[in-house]
Amino acid sequence: MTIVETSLGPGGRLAALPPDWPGGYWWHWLVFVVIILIFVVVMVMAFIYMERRGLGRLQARLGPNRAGPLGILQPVADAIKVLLKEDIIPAKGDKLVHWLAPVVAFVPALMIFAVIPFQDGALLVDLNIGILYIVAISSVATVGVFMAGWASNNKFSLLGAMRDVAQVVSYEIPLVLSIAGVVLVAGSLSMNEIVEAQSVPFILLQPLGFLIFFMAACAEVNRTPFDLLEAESEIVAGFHTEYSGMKFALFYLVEYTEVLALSAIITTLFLSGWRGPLLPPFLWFLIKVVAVFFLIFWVRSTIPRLRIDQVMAFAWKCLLPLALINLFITGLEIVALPEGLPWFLILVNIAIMVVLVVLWSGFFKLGGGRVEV
Amino acid sequence: MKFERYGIGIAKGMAVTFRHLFRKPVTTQYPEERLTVSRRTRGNELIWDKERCSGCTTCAQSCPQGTIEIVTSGNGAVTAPCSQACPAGVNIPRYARFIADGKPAEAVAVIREKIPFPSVCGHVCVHPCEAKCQRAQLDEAIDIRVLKRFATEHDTGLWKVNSKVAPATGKRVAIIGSGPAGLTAAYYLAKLGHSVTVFEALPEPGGMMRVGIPDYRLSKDILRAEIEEIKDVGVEIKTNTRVDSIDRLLEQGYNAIFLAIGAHQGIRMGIEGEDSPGVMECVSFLRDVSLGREVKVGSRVAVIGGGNAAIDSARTALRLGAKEVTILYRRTQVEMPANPEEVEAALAEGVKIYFLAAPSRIISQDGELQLECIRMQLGAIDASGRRRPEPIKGSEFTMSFDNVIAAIGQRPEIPDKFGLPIGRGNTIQADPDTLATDREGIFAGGDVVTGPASVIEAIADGRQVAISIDKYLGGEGIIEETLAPPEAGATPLKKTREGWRPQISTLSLSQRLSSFAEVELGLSEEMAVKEAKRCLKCDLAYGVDKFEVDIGYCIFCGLCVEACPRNALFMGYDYERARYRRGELVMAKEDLLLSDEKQPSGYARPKVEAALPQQTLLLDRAEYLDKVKKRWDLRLPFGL
Amino acid sequence: MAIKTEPFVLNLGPVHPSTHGVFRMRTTLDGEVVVDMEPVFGYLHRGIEKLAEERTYTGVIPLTDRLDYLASMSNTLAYVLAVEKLAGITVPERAEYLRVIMAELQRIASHLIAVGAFLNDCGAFMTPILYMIREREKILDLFDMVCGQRLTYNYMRVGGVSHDIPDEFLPALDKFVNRMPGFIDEYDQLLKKNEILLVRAKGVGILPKEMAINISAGGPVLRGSGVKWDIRKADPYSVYDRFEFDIPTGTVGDCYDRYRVRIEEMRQSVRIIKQAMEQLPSGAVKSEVPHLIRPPVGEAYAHIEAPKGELGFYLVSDNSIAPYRCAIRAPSLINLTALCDMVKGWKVADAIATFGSIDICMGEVDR
Repeated sequence: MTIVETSLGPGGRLAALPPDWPGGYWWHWLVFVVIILIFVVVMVMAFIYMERRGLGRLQARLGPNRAGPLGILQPVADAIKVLLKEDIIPAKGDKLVHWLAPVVAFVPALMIFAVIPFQDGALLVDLNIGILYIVAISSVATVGVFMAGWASNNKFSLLGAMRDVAQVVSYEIPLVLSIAGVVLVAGSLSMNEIVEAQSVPFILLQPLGFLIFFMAACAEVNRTPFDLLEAESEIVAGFHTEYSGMKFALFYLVEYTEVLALSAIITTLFLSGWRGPLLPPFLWFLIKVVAVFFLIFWVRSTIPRLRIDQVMAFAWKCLLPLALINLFITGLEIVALPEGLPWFLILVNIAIMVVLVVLWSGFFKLGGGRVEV
Repeated sequence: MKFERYGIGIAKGMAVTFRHLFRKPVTTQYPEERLTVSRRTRGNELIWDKERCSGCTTCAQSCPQGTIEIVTSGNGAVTAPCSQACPAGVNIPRYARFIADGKPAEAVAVIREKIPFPSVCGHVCVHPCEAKCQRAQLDEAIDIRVLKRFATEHDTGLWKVNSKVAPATGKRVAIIGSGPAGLTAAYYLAKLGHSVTVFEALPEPGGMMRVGIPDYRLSKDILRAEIEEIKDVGVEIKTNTRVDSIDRLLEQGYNAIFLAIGAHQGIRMGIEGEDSPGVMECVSFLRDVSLGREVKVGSRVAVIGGGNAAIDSARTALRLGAKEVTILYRRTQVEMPANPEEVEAALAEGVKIYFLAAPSRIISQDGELQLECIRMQLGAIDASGRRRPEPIKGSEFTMSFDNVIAAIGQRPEIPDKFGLPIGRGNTIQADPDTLATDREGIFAGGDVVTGPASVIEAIADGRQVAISIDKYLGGEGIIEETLAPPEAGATPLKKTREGWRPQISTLSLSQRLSSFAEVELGLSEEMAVKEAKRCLKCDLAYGVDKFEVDIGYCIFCGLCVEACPRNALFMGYDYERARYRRGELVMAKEDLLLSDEKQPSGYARPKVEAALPQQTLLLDRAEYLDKVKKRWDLRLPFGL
Repeated sequence: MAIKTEPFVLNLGPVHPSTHGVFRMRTTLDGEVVVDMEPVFGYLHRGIEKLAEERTYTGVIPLTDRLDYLASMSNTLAYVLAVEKLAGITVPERAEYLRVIMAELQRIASHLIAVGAFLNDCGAFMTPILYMIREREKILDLFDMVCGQRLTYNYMRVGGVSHDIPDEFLPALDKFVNRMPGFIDEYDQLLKKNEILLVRAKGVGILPKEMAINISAGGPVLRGSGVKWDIRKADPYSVYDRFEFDIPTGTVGDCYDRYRVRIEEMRQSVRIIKQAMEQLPSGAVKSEVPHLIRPPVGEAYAHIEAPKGELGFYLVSDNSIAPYRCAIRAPSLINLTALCDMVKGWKVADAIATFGSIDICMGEVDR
């Protein structure tokens, strides 16, 4: 209880709640936990359905259309099927770790939603270090993935897990640096305040930051072209090769929960969150989340996968310098033009982004070639 | 490696996938509306048709996996389906082989073993054999009648070598009527040594062949030549001699009498005004035309009826100078008893056919006939298997003609003094096997017993009567003879020859209508040989005792199906079946689970065997129906 | 501080999403780097060469269908050419043209799968292969029209082809041939200049020109290495000498070159089909061949440019109804021999991509 009190910070954000909100923050706590759980489960199902149908259309096929009207019950059918499946633990695997891995992976993914504002002030806790909390908690999921890779006693799993750790550690840095730009502009770490600061969506003020964040986040949640840890054509299914039944379902859930969280974070940081004209704020939030998700699976449908050394090189040689430069330029702009004209800054920033991307793309070698053996 | 084009390549690719978001997806839909056009089979079930298999083992030889096991017995001497269908039992495959070998004279000898009128049959036979031809399952039936005609046209008289006439027995037989039945009986009885006298009421012998079949189908010379051959074995024909009483014949010393007087009396329509001048009856009309008597028809002629006689009357009327000939039939084209080929020819010559119309009254007015008709509709199916026409009340209409020819049927005209029991349709009742009547020594056959039928049935009756009479007269009743030389080296068919039946050349329309010249021109030698080679040699089939396919080893390559010369093997149309069933959802999952044949793995195989024959026919049938449709693509009058 | 490491062995296959059948790559890995690779195959061995000795000359045709099941038409074509050579059987003109049309359609179908599978191995999640299967489906429909089958066609016969084409075939083929170049352009737009594909495929899995010749590689693998060698031009069989077409070649011999060569070959195949349709004569499609063929004592070798390389049949006859010996020169197997040298020193992902770019069919490798 004390933890909750401290995390609320001085003054708390409860004052921002609607005046007729029933009860104190315990009620608030309970209601939002339920809301978040329902939101996550429903949205994950919706995402699975959208991705499968959308990918189908992008790939000139229909996608699942048998279960329920237009196949809308397909995720439900999938869930039932996967829950009924036999749970297999490899004979020489580490049983406890094998069992624990999906839980360890799932909990942090869920915890991210604690600080996502669905609309103004409507969030579980408006931490004043909200974005920092997200960065910290999202890395924990990697531990679960690595546990899975280790406990399976399978070479494919281990390869996948090793790749994941290397990748996540590398991409944390550009990720945080690109967030720093946003934080500088917004002047707050609180998610709700970042949204409130976005009279102009930060995607316009921080185009390069958005680009870096989007790529780094894709790598964080292992989406194409950085889906190396479960690269189907190479290492079968990566870390969850040996998982089945409910545990596999949890990993599946983790994957989509992370994507959902990513979409929500991008919406909050760069797309002005719940803000928008005419429609209710929550709807705006949802629309933007779905739009980001569409972009993610649209990318997935089109482009091939990078190689592990190329992925690492991309992080260190491309994203990291660019993120540093972005942070530097943002700092300069804040110092030079504290009350600067947003439209001027937008044009300048887009120009800077184009120049930097063009420069950088011809600048470095991506990954190594053949190794003499 | 560098990002050479700053991500433009990725952007282009994403544009392509984005475009597909708005396109119709294609890959996952099974094309339900499309059926394969391939004539070849496919699927994973092999079906063997016992009826068609001749036991030639070609399939077993061609199977790469050796899955087909076939055990046969006998050396191949069965009666082919066509021979079975022939009332006279002509050995058709055998003479087809002779024709294929370029020996038409031997072929005629084979035909002569069963019928004394090969030329007549070659021209006008209704060929029930072709309906049973196994080749029709493959593509089209063999044109057996035309082959027979070709053989007779190229005859050298070889059959006479083996034709023997038995020594005289001293018995006398009187045959009343010189139609196909009478003359056939006369021919065989004379060959058995009896003294035969044929009495013919008309001035020329031949019966219906002479006076019922118009010249454009069968010329007089051909018939005359055939009758000469019969006379040559010692048959005496007395023309212009009408027999009114059989008792007087018996008094004259005839030991046996065969009544083969045919059905020469037209049935009356039974409507008002039937006796008006200008109304004719088709039998007498055709008879008068055939015998060269003067018959006058106006420019507009109506023919009532849908049989062959109606078509003959209509075409004859055209040749006599009628400008417009209309056939009125009370049913539809499907029920029409006339030969489809004849109907086609009539239509080609410009005859109009009105279906579902029946006359109800004839009014003679100002020298022309007002034919009052009523429209019909088809009701329930009657005893003949056809739908009974029923008049539609108030649908009367009137058409005017110069002549009306009634051709609604014929019946025998039996003099009262015969003293024989008369059956349905004014026919004489006779024992169906021996054709003997109730009176001793009196036999009857042909149309007078069966009602109006075909030449070949009359010939069959004639043969039967010859056997019966000979037995009655103390003989053994053996009329079988071997005229053709033995066949050397006939082997079952191993490979099907491609090809459809030939297009028989006919006279041009203008030539047809200006005279009674024969319309059909017959085959060239090359065409005949080619056509005869299409024969599947069903008579050489082996008895198949065992036919087994080890489906476990079968790879469904279809080589056996392709090799089979008689189309006795099919592959199950699995894809097609799926297509047909998709809409109906016949095989629900529950049905599968309830099936008796539970498999070890827990799911059951559906029972599909029962549905297979129908399924395998589906493609063939669709094709067949299409063909029939083209053939019957008639303009329906009255807006039907 | 040196980390103590040791290489570990990873069995890629025989049950693996990217081994195109039941192939096993016994790779030794140092981290992600392939230090050694040993191809293990034979899981799909059916003894087709031996089986052929017990079957009639016609009866072998369905077996050859099952060699490279993605290019059945080409296999049967090579086989019947060998039998015709052995028995001295001539083929009607129309059948020759039909054979060319079918073989080129089959080449397009096979290359579509090859390219699609290669791109899938590179990680393009199903999209390119699904687009390509869409067009392959049209080819299968065309084959379905002529022979009622969609995979093992069993269409070629000694002395011609089994059936003449139905009336619907030529209009459908015309439609397909006119639309196909547009589809190939679409594939190019999708991934030809995709930066990720470029970094994944360019310079990866290089097969040097000399080595390609030394291992007697064939087909796109050889031409990708820059060798202008095509049996259709070098030793024209059937009526290929009557058509105009180019031989596309690569420069370096990397995965990207092989991918480009296949795409260009599809364009050339469309060109050949167009010419063959124009020249298609009428007449018989099969010469008179006895039910059981008894070639004179002797031997014959016939080879064709199959989609995967030079496919040859060597037949020995002892004047019986079955071949005394039937040896198959399978292009997939020969091309596969270079795999180990091509992937050594590359990463696991490159090994998979290189393997995909060789385009093998296990039915043909193991026979």
